[in-house]
Amino acid sequence: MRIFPLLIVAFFFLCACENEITEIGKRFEDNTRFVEVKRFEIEESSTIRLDSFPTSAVYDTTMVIGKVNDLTSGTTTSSSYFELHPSSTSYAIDFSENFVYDSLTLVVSNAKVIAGDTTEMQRFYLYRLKEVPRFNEQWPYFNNIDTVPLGERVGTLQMFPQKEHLTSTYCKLSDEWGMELYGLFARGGSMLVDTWAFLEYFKGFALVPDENNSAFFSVKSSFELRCYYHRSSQGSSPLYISMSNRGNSDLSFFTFSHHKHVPKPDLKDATEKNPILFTMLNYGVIQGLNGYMMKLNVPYIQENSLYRTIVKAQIAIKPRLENYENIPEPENLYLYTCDEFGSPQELIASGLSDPTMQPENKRFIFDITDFYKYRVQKKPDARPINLLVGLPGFTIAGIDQIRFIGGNVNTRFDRMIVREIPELYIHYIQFK
Amino acid sequence: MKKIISVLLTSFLAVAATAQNNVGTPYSKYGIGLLPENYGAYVGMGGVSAAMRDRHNINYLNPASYTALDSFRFYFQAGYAGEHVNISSYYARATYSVAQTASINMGFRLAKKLFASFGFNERSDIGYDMRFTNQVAGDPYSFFYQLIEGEGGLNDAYFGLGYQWGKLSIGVNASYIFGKVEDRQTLQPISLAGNPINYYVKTRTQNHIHDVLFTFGAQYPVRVSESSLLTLGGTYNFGTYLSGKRVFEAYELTTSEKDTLILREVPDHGKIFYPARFTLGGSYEWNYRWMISGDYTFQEMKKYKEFGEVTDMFTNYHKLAIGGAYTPNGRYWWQRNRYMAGSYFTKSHINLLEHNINTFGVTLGVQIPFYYANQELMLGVAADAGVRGRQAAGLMMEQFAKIRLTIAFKERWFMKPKIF
Repeated sequence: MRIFPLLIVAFFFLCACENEITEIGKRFEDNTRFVEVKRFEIEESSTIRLDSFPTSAVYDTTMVIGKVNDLTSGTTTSSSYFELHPSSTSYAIDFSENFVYDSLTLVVSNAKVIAGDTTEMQRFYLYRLKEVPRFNEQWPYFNNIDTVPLGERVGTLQMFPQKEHLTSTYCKLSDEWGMELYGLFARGGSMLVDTWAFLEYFKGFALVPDENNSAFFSVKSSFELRCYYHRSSQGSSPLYISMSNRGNSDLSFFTFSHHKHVPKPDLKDATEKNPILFTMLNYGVIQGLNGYMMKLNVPYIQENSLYRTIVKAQIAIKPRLENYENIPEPENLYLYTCDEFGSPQELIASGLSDPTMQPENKRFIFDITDFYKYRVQKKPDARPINLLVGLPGFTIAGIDQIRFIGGNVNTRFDRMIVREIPELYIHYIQFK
Repeated sequence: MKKIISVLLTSFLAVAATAQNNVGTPYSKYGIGLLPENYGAYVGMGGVSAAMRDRHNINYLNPASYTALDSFRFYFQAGYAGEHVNISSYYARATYSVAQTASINMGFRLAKKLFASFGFNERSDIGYDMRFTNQVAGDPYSFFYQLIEGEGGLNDAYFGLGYQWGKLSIGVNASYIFGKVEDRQTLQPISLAGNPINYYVKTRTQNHIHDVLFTFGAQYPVRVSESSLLTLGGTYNFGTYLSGKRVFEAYELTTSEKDTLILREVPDHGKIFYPARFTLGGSYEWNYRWMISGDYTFQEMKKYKEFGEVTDMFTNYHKLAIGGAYTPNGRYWWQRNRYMAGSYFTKSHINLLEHNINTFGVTLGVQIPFYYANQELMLGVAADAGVRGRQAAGLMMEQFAKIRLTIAFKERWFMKPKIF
């Protein structure tokens, strides 16, 4: 019986087992039939143009100004509308001293070229508006269809679109209106205290690109107007009164863009309700500022086998690789649901360029697994699956719960020309 | 009482050990798993069994051998096996180690020429963990993980009888074969970044197998001369249908939600055909010191069927074993030991990529007796080193080293001390 301790020790020694997970055995295991990708062309792919999208800078810190004639989509012009108000410190200036008016200057900050030709001088004209734009207080966005009548031109801004010139740019306004404004400050009075009275007087500015411009700029949406003056005594340093639209979360200070678009003949009839089929154009367009998106009627593929299930559903978009127009391609795209009329509803996926592909096979992939499985497997619903592909953004509900897309559609001119019919990839697992 | 507790403790440890790891070879994936190649009481002699009979070991592989046991003793024998295996193919390498209880056996005399044995043996073994990265059909740029796991095997709880009729001994083992064979598979596509994606599928197939299998045996010793003995022996079991129940389940898993059962099939009740198997062999003992023995085993595994389906990768099983033993029979303790050596060759039933998975092994062993007042104890240690399979043709080679410990003790029963 003395052998038992030895036996037990030996037993536990042997029980210290370990098995490594191993790739060995791959050659003689059948591993080809379990996961399969099926590709379906999304034949009902088309280009639409949003009827309207928010162009207010309420949520954006940048605005776009400029003009580009895009050989694919057409001519797009973007103008900025904004109003300014004297800062509270301007009331404290004592004009009993002998001050002299110098100039009136608009400061445009952080201008950056986002698309177009950077070798030509770009001109912008500053107008005073004829009337104050009226907004629905519950719906402060301004869309890209309405326009506001322009009044007198008060200045011209010229920019040579090279980096070193763009940190801050200045536009000198006419002295006639400058002296009028200076006089207003010098006299003081209720208009400087009563914001609404000043805005009724001022009405607002519009910065409109010249017809010959060829680039878009992103600028900081907080503009500043400076009224420079100095003491009459020699050698005194210049002083200025500042007017700005800072604090623009107060909705009474409007800052919005107007994006005018003249489409190419191929696309002139594109609207939300009137998509232009990919098969007619042999391409599709996705672009900011003019609202082009691709609408996809995704096939409804139901799996009837007991032993198969969907584990991944993807949409692949293949862009045209040639780009001769200095219009950047978006780094990523977003996928939104849309109703039967083509109006955007909800964001469901973002798509990145597939890093596994060679440049010549570049494609953007959207993973719509959850969405597709829900529609096809979990709660089968044979209604058409309509999706919109556009620039990154978000959807927001407006009046009567009508939803709009915001985001890069208002701040970027990025463009993608889709070269092949988009495809739906469904990964099935055959588990028996 | 102490003896009973010791027996129970050892039995408990042995049974607990059966729940330990299974083998780790991908070759065990097929059918009822890997059939034991070298087992029984004479592992040190290459696993010969057909014509082996002595009063020290319960040779449960041939029930006719029970008649060689001492008539007045109760035998208890337990075998433990530990194994370390190095698996290699031409592109990868892995190892596994495993310890298992190989057998627990008891034996005793029932009547004048009738002996009995009962116990628990391992009949087949399954254990594998493999993970592959495979290309998705239809997309050269997509991949998926395939994790294949399996465990289980068949066990054998038997009761056997051996009867001596003149020189001829005959016997039968009635084995209750039972066990579970479980295959699991996980299929998980990989995202563009190389990470597993949200949805994946796990499946589990369980085969519960049980039924009774009879193994018949016979041994015939022939006295060649005064100091030499030739024994012929053999065993046979008929092809037998074993009852089976197959359960298949599939789960869909996500990283964010609970597992979802997507399919559970109605259990499939059917039969597993365990084909006929025989072993023939002979042994020659000379001068009570030297012994040589040889065996040939055949099983018609081509006819193996699961739920009516023939497995086309199975072929017939052949095994050749040869072994020798030497007992010095001197006065010192090391002269009372039995020293053994052997070798075996198995052409297994598994045929992959048109190649048989063969096994070759050499064995060494020693049996050391301990004598007490009313007990005898035999400690057996055997080493088995060999090679299974090969690297050619995309297969894999397994180099294994096994240690088997056997503890066998016998108590004097049916005797009373004489009172003077």
